Amino acid sequence: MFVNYIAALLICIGIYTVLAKENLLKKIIGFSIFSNGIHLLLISIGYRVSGVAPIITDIKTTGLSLFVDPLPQAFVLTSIVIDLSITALAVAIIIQVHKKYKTISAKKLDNLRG
Amino acid sequence: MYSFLSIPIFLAAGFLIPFIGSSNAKNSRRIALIASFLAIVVSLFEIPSVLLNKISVKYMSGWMAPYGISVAVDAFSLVFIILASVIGFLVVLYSKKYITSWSVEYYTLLMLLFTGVMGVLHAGDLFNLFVFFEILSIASYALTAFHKNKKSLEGAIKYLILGSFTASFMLLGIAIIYGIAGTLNMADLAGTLGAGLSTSTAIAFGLIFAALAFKSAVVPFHYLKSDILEVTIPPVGAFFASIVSATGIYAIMRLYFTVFNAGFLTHHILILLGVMSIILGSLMALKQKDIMRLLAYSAIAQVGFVVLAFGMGAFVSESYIAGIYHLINIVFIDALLFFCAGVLVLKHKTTNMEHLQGVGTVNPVLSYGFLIGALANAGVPLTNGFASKWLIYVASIKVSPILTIITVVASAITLAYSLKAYSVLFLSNAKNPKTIKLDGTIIFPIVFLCIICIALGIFYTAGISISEIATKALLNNKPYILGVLG
Amino acid sequence: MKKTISVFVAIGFFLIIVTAVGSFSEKKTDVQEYYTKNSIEKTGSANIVNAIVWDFRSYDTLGEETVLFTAIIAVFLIAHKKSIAEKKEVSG
Repeated sequence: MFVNYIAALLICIGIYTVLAKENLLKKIIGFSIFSNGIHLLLISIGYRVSGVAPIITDIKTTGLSLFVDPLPQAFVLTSIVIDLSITALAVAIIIQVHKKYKTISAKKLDNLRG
Repeated sequence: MYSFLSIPIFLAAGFLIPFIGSSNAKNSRRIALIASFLAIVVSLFEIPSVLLNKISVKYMSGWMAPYGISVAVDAFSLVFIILASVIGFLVVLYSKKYITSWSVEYYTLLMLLFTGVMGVLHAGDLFNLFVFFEILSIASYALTAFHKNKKSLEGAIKYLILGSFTASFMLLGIAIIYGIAGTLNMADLAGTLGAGLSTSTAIAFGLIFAALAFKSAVVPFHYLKSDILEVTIPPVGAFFASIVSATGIYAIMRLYFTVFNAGFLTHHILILLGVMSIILGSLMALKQKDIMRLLAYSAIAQVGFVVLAFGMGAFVSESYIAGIYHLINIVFIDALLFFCAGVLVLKHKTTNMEHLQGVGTVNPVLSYGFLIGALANAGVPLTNGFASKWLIYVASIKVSPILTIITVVASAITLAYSLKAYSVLFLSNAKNPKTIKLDGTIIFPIVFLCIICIALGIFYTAGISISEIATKALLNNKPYILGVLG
Repeated sequence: MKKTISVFVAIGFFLIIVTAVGSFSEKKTDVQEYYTKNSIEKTGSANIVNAIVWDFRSYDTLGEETVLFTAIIAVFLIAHKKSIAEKKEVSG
């Protein structure tokens, strides 16, 4: 099941972007990549070999025919909305930061001492 | 299950305030006061149902335990729930003078912050914990940027990027746990995972621990706490330093003892992190020139004491009681210190101690309040800080004498910087002292917290017995599993 | 310097996640069976994911909508033109 490894690769690209890039907007994009990597990992956990989408089409022959796991898909739906809210809030704050500081580079924000 | 009602109460207040407050802004404060007072009442009603090792469970929408979400309260949770509702009420009362405009948005965000805290404290399911933890986080990012001047926006964007990044680690940990166990209910996980940690479970717990430790400022995840507390408004800063840290520690301990039943291998790591927090917090607080940063590093050091006490619990079993008792005490002490210092910040619009020299001499209530808070912080006898710190010293003697030396020296350093802050702010001669007229809304929280600090110090047996009940509920997870799964 | 450290941190996380993921097993859980059997009779929905989001785990959906609401209020607070000193309030 090599989708797990692709999801891990996406997570690592996201982590690298958040830590290494200086532009604040690039950090937000990196956070989004990281988050989507986790969603891909969650969905790939729910995969069952030769399973179909979890929609009941025929009541009589339902029995226990093989569906893929529906629970991680519900988690991903919730998590996408949370990720969207954080991105919107981050962009709003970055716009205000640009108005005050005239720059959006993280190195130039140094008014707060450590 | 009465205490669960606090979540709908705060949610309803959060949704009502924008509707009713748009026409009349004073109504927003009244709705917030009524909501937080009702939350105290319902959480006090819950006390009879969690004594004697029982737990109180509610199945949301009627679906039974592993198939639906369950909300479970035992004695350990109830201590934190009562603390959170009381401090929340005091914060709403105290913020009257600070909010002169934008009050509708402020009280809405404050109500949603309380919803997040109550949701985390009641959670019985891991994904539910994550969702309410995100509510808490987003409300706190917005409240950090409330001033909208240069420093606040910078603090807010740094906090947002690092905080949301760390919270996604929690989701990664939850994904790994789901892959291993197939369920996310806390009681069900406790039964499925068994005792001890395997490699994958340890990785998952480490990721979730990183997310929660960032919120409660345990070293080495303490990085932004002092920046945030410098730029927020003082009532929100008081709430962050006291209750949000306590909520993070609660969630860590709930996962550590009830869900993972982690065993004793990781206690050495907890002791190490506790000692690092104590040393770093005390030393950094000594050289600060800014009153809010000094109090922030002091809070970090006190949380270090709590983590140290929980770590030593593997060797000395009374150390858990000391840890919970100290956590209750530092919630009150930090709130008191932030309340007193916040009034000076309000009047003089600066947090730099050199500009604030001697400004507190004009008002005796503030002087006595800060003095009691400073003495309790350092652990002087007759205050509550002394009772819990004494238990920690006694426990650390049995573990290793080096720990005793470190904790006693750290308490001495705490006394040094607390009294230094007190003397700079309240004892020196000021250049131009403006008189500070205090409202009842500011005097009542400060006096109430002073009385509690001294009362918990004199009647320390009451504090110890409360902590004992909470510890018994925490350490034994069999009643929890039986209560939830039925 | 900073980029080198971040590359190492990223590679470290890759190894950590690969280690943790390796111990997954595809098992059929009884939770999934319960959802499949009771989805139509107790909730009336043929789409099982829909039944989970809106019925079995509706409390999480409530929390998610609260997150959305919080972000809306926060964006309204932050993105407004006037700062604290300038805004005059309606009070009556």
